Parts: sequence; C-alpha cells; structure tokens
Amino acid sequence: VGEALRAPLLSEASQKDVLRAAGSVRLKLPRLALGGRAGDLASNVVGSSLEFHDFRDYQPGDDVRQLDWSALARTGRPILRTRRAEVAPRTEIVVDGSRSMQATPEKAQRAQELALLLERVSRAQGLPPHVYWAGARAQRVDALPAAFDGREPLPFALPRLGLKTCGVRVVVSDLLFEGPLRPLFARLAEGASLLAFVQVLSREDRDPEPVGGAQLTDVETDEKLDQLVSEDAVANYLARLKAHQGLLDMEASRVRALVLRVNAEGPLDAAVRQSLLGGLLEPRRAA
Amino acid sequence: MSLGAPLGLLALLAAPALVAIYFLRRQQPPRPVSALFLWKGADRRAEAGPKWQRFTRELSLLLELLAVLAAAAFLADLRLGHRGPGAQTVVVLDSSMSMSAKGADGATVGAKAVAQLKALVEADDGLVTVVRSGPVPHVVIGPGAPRSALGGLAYLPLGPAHDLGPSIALAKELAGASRRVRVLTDRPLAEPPTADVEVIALGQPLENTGFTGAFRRDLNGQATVVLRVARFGPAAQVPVEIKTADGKPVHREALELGPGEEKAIKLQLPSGDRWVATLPDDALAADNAVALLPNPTRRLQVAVLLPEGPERSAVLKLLAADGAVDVTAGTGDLTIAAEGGVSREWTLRVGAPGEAHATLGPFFLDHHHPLLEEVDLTGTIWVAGASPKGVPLVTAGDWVLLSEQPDHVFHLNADLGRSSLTRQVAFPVLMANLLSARRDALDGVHPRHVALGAPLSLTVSPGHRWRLTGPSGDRDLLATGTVRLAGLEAPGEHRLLRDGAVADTFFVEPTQAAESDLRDRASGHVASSAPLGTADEAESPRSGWPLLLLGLLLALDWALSGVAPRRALRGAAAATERTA
Repeated sequence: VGEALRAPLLSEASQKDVLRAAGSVRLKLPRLALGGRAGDLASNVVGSSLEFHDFRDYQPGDDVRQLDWSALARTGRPILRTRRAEVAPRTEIVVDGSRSMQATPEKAQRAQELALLLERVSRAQGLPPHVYWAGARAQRVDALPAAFDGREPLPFALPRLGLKTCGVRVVVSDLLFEGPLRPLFARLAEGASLLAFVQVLSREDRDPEPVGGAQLTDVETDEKLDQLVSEDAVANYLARLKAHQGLLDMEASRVRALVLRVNAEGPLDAAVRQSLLGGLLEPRRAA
Repeated sequence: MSLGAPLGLLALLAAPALVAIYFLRRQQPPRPVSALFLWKGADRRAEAGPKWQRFTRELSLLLELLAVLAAAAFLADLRLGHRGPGAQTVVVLDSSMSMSAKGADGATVGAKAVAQLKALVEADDGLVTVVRSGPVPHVVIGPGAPRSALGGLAYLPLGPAHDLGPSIALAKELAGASRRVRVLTDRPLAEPPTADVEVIALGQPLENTGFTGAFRRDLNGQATVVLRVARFGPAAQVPVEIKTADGKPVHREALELGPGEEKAIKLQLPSGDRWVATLPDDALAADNAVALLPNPTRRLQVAVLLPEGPERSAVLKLLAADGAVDVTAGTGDLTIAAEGGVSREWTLRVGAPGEAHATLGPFFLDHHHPLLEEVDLTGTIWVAGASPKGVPLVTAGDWVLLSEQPDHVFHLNADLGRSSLTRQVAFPVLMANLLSARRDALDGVHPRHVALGAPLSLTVSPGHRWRLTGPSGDRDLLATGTVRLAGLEAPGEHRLLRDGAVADTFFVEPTQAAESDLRDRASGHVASSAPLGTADEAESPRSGWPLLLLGLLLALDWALSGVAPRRALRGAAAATERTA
C-alpha cells in the first residue's frame, strides 16, 4: 500500500506516541459500500462483482451480457442489471497547511500527529492512505512538510488537490475561515463514503486571555486589528466562535459528515480517547 | 481671506502631534491570531452595511485633523470674503494751521480735506483709519474703524508746522507693507513720496497777514509789549489793534508792510489785565489774534546776611536795580551770606577766607553754566582767598574763584572791597544771572507767551501732583524740577495745575511764519498704484463659524468612534446569540 508517511517535524517521542496510539485503534468504517480500487471490499460504485446494485435502461456500448432478459421479455425494453464493483477503498487524509495551523507550536504538532496517526491506522487496516497537503503548494505528499505555509484558507487550496473517489476522507484543519461552507463541504463529501472533519484548536483559539490593548494579526493574511482585548471582547469572541462551530456542525450534518474537535494541548492518547473514539475511530479488537 | 491673529496658526502644530498619536496608538503589542474575523464582529457588520463604516478609524483621524484646522482658524481669527478684513482707507490728515486757510469760495482747506476723506472712504467701501499729523502723530479714527466713525471726527487744524514723515510712517504701519497711504494736505510734499503714498493737495496760494511774535512783560506798573507782524502778499497798510478782554481799545496803529516784510512793534503801556492784539480778517483767521497775558517779573525774597561793608553795599545796590526783589533779614528764596555763614538751598556765599592774593587772570570760566552767561572778567583785579569747595566754575591759575556745591550753594571767593569786580560789568551780569536762575527754578512756566510749536520749559517741585491742561490736551507731569516739553500743538490758554489748583497760566500764541505764509500753497495729486490696505477689524468679534465647525466635527468624531462601534458590537453580539 505504498511508502509509509514520514513526519520530520515530529520528534521521535511524538512519533512513538503516534505509533502507540495507532496500535490500539482502527477506523470505524461505515456499513455502506465503499468506493476505491478493485479488491476485497464492496464498493458503492458500479462494477463487475456478483452483488446486485441496480437496474437501468440499456445504452449503446453496455455489456449485453448484463441485459436482464426476463425483464426484456416482460416489458419489451432492454434493461440492464448492474452490479457493484469489487474494490479496495482508500483513505484520503487532507491536512490543512495554512499558516493558522501553526499559530502555536502545539497546534502544528497535534495536526501532524493526527495526520500520521490516521495514515498509520488506515495503512494497518489495509486502506491505502493518500495524504494531501493543502498549503502554499496543494499536493499529495509522502512526507509532511516542516512548515504550514499556506496564506489562503483551505477552501482556496482544495480545487488544486485533485481529490478522487475514495472510501474515507478525513480533513485535519482548524476550520477557522470565513466563507460559504455548504459548497466546500459538498465538494469534500463528493465521492467519499465517509467524511470526517478533525478540528484542531489551540488554547488561544478556544479560550483567549483578556490581555488588554493588542494589535491582533491574522497569521494567514497579516491583516491587523487594534483591539482592546477585554473581558467583553473575549466574551464576544467566544460567542462568535460558538456560532461558527454551530454553523460547521449544521453544514456537516447536511452531508452526513462528522466534526470531531481535538485540543492541541495535552497527550495524544487522551485527545484520541476523548475526541476520536466512537466517531472516526474505534478500539482495535484483540486478535 | 485674512488672519486677525496669525499666531493662532501655531495650533496647527497639533496636527502632526495628532497624526503621531494616531500611529503610536496603532503600535500595540502584536498578538497573532488564527481567525481575525472572529475578533471584529463590528467590522463584519460594517462590511455588510454602508462602505464608509469600514474606514471608521481613518475617518476619525480625518475628522480630528479637520477639528484642529477649525481650532486654528478660530484662534487665528480667520476671516473670509471682502467684508471680513475689509479694504482699509488709511489717510493722513495734515493738521497744520495753514489747513484753516479760507479760499475764495469761503471754504477752508480743512473742510475740503474732510469732504475728500469721506468721498475716498465711500469709494473704497471699506474701513477707515485716520492719522492726524503733527509733531506727534495721533490715530484719531481706527485703526480699521467702520465708516460711521467718520461722523465723530474732530478736526481743527491749528497745529504748528511739522514734518509729515512720522505721520506717514505710522500710517504705513497701520496700512500694512506696500499698501496705499493717502495724504490730505494743502501743498505738494517737499520730498517726493514713495510709490505707496498718494498725495492729494487741496491748497491754493493766498495772501495773508499774521502775527509772527508776541511778548509782554510787566514791571513797575509798566507793560512792555512786543508784537511782530508779517505781510505775506502785496504791500499793504495793516492796522494793529490792542484791546482789553472786554473790548476796550488800549492801542491802535497802522503798519506799512511791504511784500514779505515783517515789522515789530514795541509799546510801553500802563499795566493792565489781559489784552488781545488783533489784525483785520483775512485768509487765515487763526494768526490774526494773540493774547497778551500780564507777565510780571517774579518777585524774589532775598535774605542778605552779609555784614556791613563794601560787599553788602554792592549786593544791595544790585538787588535794588532788579526791581522785583524784596530784601529780608531772615529766610528767602535766595540767601546771600558771608563765607562760613549759613548754608541752605540757593545760597551765595561771598568772601575770601585765608591768605588773600590778587590776580589779573587769565580767568577760565565755564560758560555753559547759566550763572556765567555773558560774564566777561577781562581786566578784573580779583582778590581771592583759599580755594572753596565744590565744582569750580571760575578759576585763575591754581585758585578757584567761583564754585558750586549741591543744592545750588555757590562760593564767590572774592574780597569785594579790594577787588575791582564790583566796578566791572561782570558783577551785575553775574548777579542778574543768579536771580534769573533762581526765578527759573520757581514753580511755573517761563515764559508765559509760548510760540506755537516751540518747546515749553516749566518748573515743578516734588511733593505735588502736577497736571497740564489746555487746548493741546491734558497730561500729567511725572518728572520734577525743570521740565522741557515738546511744542504744544494747539494755540490758546493753558494751565498748570498743582494738586488740582491753578498754579500758573500761559498762552500758546498762533505765531508761526511758516504757517502764516500761504503763498506757496497749491493743489495737486500724486497717484499711487499700491493696493489698498486691509484692516483687522479689531472692533468686530471673532468669527464664530470655526468654533461651530469644531464642535460639529468633534461631535461627529465622537459618534463615529464612540457610539457607532458600541452599537455595532451590541448588534453583532445579538446576531451571534441568534445564530447559536
């Protein structure tokens, strides 16, 4: 299933933590058929397995061997019997490479840990992992870049990633960007049997301190704002963050996607247990 | 547009300070955030609303800068438009006596000048400043007064001849640099005017007869009157009449005067009260009458404390000759005593103590001293003693013959019995000078008939409040001792008041040949291309619109930077709650 992902930014200890965590969990696959390359798992796309999928009218070029002769006899119309393709689904892990993911070192580390974790879990589960980096250059990567260098939010990098049909698609991002979420989520849900958003938030994102006068600088756009970061201002910020997350949840539910929130701080094990188990991951059963 | 108080522009210094503060305020400690849009809820709302709200802070700075401009405009007293600063007609009115001359049409030159002044102001349609010329120029209207102020113009040209230069210089100061100044006079200026001076001469050559001098002195019941009369025109017989104040004739005679001729009349008349000498009416009435006040020689109380002998005899003989001295044995205005005797103010101590010696000179005299005026010691045999103390006034070799100590104490180092001094003319002259100096040091005015424009000498003692009143104006005299004042500018009776009571009376006589001679008066016009001056309109209040604008700008700034953001913040919070 290809070469294992490398994460040079992560320390050796962090990588050991990731491997330890990956050994105890597995992806919680949906009961729906998956999409992917031909293999030993049923797909949700039409294929040549023996499992029935659907009927449709015959079109020139179709395999005449798949004609339902009984139906033809009954109705006089050439009706084709389609069957599910027999595929091995793959996992697409989309890592938000914008600079906001590196607002704090903990946040950058946690994002890379999660990407590596998901890659290892997917690989162990036999689902070929494809890791996409949505940074300054949007591309598939074999090694996680050392820096989050994207100056644009995730929606702008997404069209350049070349996402394909897959079984599981996981987006690791802080999801802190403005703009219409519905088309973005619809695009990410397209061709994926399971879509999950892992929202990584630092303490500064979740609970900023009232520090008084400050020049707030957006790490992605360098836009500046002189703001009195008072108790009231923080309260207003939290209210708007809560509203933003509510919007994320609502749009995700439209495309049957999961939104899982992970704190950047603290041990990885704890974060996995608290945020990912039960949703995207499940404990690995003993052999 | 003009500025009433240009120093108010210093308020503009607040503008760079404001900009600096604005940028300093932006230099807050930086703080990176992942999502700036979550912090600026108010601005998010603004972006959805009117676009100008996006620039609230820049707009606030702009409003504050405009407020600074408005404040500077108010402090600098900015005035806009023509009527604000106002064109200013700056005129110098010649106030010399010849401006009172009456032409063939019966109107005086002064009246024509006032009419011309009003016409100029009317044509300029602005403000007016009038400088009355004189030895000391006076601003009689303005600076920058409205036209209506001309109604209160008091203009009686009876002043002495004077240079118009100081008045024109003052007018230029009031008009502003390179601005037009108009001079209304009765003859073209002797000096060619500068480009910014417009000269309007309204005079005409006239023949005139006038007094050019008047003097009266009363002594021993006799009045000596000296009158000088000049004819500025063709030869004529001029009757001169002296009358009492109530019109009774005292003397009358006719003078035959040739063209430009001046003659003096000296009369000895029995003393009487005030007289008036008059000439027939002619072009200039002002110089046709002079007042002749009684002018007796001031009587002196002289205490002669000399022992019997040749010195005393010589002194008493001279004092008796003066005619206005009362000899006493006690105190007096002047004391004459033997050397070593009493010493008080104004004392002449006579004697030659110590070893006597005689000298024929040469004598060295301080002729600048009033006591030695016209004193000639040539041929005098002077027998003197030891040199006295004090500042030497007369010396011969190593000997001091006459000296002065403070408080007018004089030492006459002479043995009058053995000297030939009393037989020389020098001695009565010396004594007459002493009496004259003492009389001059008495409180009052000397002499009592002062020619127009001539300097005035008067003596006032300390310890009293002295004031001079009369047609030339009132003024307090702050100095004491012998005071010399510049020439008084108006003829007529003046009074010297001591503590409010009349201490002396004197008369400024309109006797000035330069003003009586009207033959060189002429009309003419020297134009000027310089623009009219502008006035600060000091009497009008500051314009209030900059202050109003300042208030509006500050209110708008407060609404933008204070109220609107708070309201937007509340709106954003409410919207967030609804979304949640």
